[in-house]
Amino acid sequence: MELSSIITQVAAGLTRGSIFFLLASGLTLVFGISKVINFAHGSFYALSMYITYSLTREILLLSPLGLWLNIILAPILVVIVGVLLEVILLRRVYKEEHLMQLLLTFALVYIISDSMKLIWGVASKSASRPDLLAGSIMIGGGIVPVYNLFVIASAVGIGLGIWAILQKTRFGIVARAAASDAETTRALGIDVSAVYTGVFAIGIFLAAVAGTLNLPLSSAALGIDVEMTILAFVIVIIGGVGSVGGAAIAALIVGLVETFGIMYIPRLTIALIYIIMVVMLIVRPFGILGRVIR
Amino acid sequence: MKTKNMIRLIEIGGALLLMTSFLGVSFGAEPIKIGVIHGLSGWVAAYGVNNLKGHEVARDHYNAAGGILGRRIQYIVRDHMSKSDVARRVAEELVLKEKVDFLLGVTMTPCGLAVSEVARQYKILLVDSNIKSPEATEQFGHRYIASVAADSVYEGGAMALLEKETPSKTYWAIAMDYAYGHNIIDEFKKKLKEVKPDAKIMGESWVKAGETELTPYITKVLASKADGIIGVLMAISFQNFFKQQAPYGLLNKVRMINGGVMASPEFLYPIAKEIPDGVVLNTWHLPDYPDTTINKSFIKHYLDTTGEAYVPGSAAQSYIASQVLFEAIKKAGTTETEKVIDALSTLEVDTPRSTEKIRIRKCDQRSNLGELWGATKYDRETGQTKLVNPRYLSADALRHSCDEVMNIRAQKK
Repeated sequence: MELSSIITQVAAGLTRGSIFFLLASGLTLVFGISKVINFAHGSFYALSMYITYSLTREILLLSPLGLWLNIILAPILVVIVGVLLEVILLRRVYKEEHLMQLLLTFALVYIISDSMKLIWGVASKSASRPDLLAGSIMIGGGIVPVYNLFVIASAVGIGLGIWAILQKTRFGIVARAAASDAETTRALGIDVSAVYTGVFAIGIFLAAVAGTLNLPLSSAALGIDVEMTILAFVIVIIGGVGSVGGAAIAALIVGLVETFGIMYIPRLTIALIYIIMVVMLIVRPFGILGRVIR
Repeated sequence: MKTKNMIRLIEIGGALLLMTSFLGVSFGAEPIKIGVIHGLSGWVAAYGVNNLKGHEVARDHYNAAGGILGRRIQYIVRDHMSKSDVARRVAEELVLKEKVDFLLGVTMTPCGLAVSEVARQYKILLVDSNIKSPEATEQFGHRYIASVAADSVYEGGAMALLEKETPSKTYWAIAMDYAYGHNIIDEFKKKLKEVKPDAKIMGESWVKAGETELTPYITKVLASKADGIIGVLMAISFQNFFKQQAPYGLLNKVRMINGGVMASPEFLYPIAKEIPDGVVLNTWHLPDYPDTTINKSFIKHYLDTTGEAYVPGSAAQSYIASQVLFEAIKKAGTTETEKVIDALSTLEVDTPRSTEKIRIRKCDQRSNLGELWGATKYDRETGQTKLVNPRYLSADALRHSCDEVMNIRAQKK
């Protein structure tokens, strides 16, 4: 294979990995800190795609201002929906078995999916890359779309931002404390429920940003919610539950395996990703960097 | 006294009759019950929901004109959820419990084959709108299934015929990795040898159902230096291929023809800006071709009834399936299944698709209706992409002949 093709494929794999990282880091944060299995995580990703599509019609992506507004506005709207659901529903199952959480969030998948179908219909929705980011550049002879570089840079920036929030802010310290020992944290007078809501909001925000950034690359269509939820869980398992760093490494591995797999062994690509997950579960069940965030 | 009562009775009866005439169309007591089975949930709802709308518009159209044989058409709708076991179960329930007279459907070939088997078992006529697998009416064909869909033998052959006069000599095939995609590519290759013997297929890429990441396929085609792409990409894979190829400029360098009836507005409009001009696609319906009264009237009726902005291709297709069933019942003059089936092969009905009347061939009960083919062109005024220079290619010359169908069935035995 020529170097130029390898560069093109690597760029494509890193782009996919960036989207997966944003999606999976949200899921791993929520599970790592509040111990909630949110099977509807991909639904918020999908919801953000649809909302971004609608916002694109009103606030055109053609203007640079429109793009930045959409990247912030769509996720914020999704977070509002997510927080409402967390406060009204999920809080009631924090202390329940994981099976209850799974059942509740599984029900949410269907509720959100049918709601999206009612609002946006069954036809898929798409948005174009903004003109500012529509072109491509040559790196080592390989074609690399500018928008892909933007997605990679966004994921890196947001990842660093999440790290900073968790490591350098009071909220982050409190969240990590609640993850380690919720009872003691509560006893210190901290409203752990509010912390969990805050973490859930961040988790949903990350999934929503992934959806918004991915809309110019992939249409919003029925069924994308479940597909992305499953992929997010696979990445969380490979990376280690609760580890944002692990999610980053796992997401890049999955992104590159998917891209190169499709190139060389397309019929085995999906199996390959699951084989990696199975091997990880056997060899290192807590994942690449699997531990609760300290 | 008796006379007075009689007169009073007649007066009351007359008044009642007068009242009912003001209530609009009146129907006979028993509606004609038709079971409608489509995929209405999950990813397949993108087709199934539109299929159902097409059936409903046809039903309302015929009911507004007095129904069929003075009887109202009544649908009982079931969702097969993309599962053939569910399709079989709901079909049996419709036949045994709901006692439907006929069946309409079915999105997705595996579900269609399951419903077809129920139709055969219980001797209920199924008129299908979607099954493109030739097996449904050939190897597994029987008296109780009729299909208005042009099969994949037709589609692959049509694509090769359209490529005959083009400058492309080296093709890369990229298709969905299930029976439909494989069938079309196989038929394309066979026909290409006939019509363009110096052309060759340099390689093939098989895309899994629902694949969203098409970049590796794009770079593979670019690296191959093929000058033509023969595609059977569908739904989200179809859309994402065009979205993702843009920065690589693939279709600035390489021509493309794609089957899968993707030139319907519901698939084309979302990617209007991303799909370049000149890509050859096919569809079940166009808003401005043919310029016939029946097409215009169908479009107006559909848009007025549904309030939608356009007619989805699958809705137009299932409208035609409903038309065929309703006209066969009218021609038979009865809802007796065997007589309606006999009437099918004598039908000649105008449809919104083309100026060619639809006929149902007796040997396999598949229609002669082909598809519309054209090249994409972006319209800056409307911001939409449409097909220009459309051509209707009839299925007659491009599908298996009756002798071939009989041979296939004989070999299966």
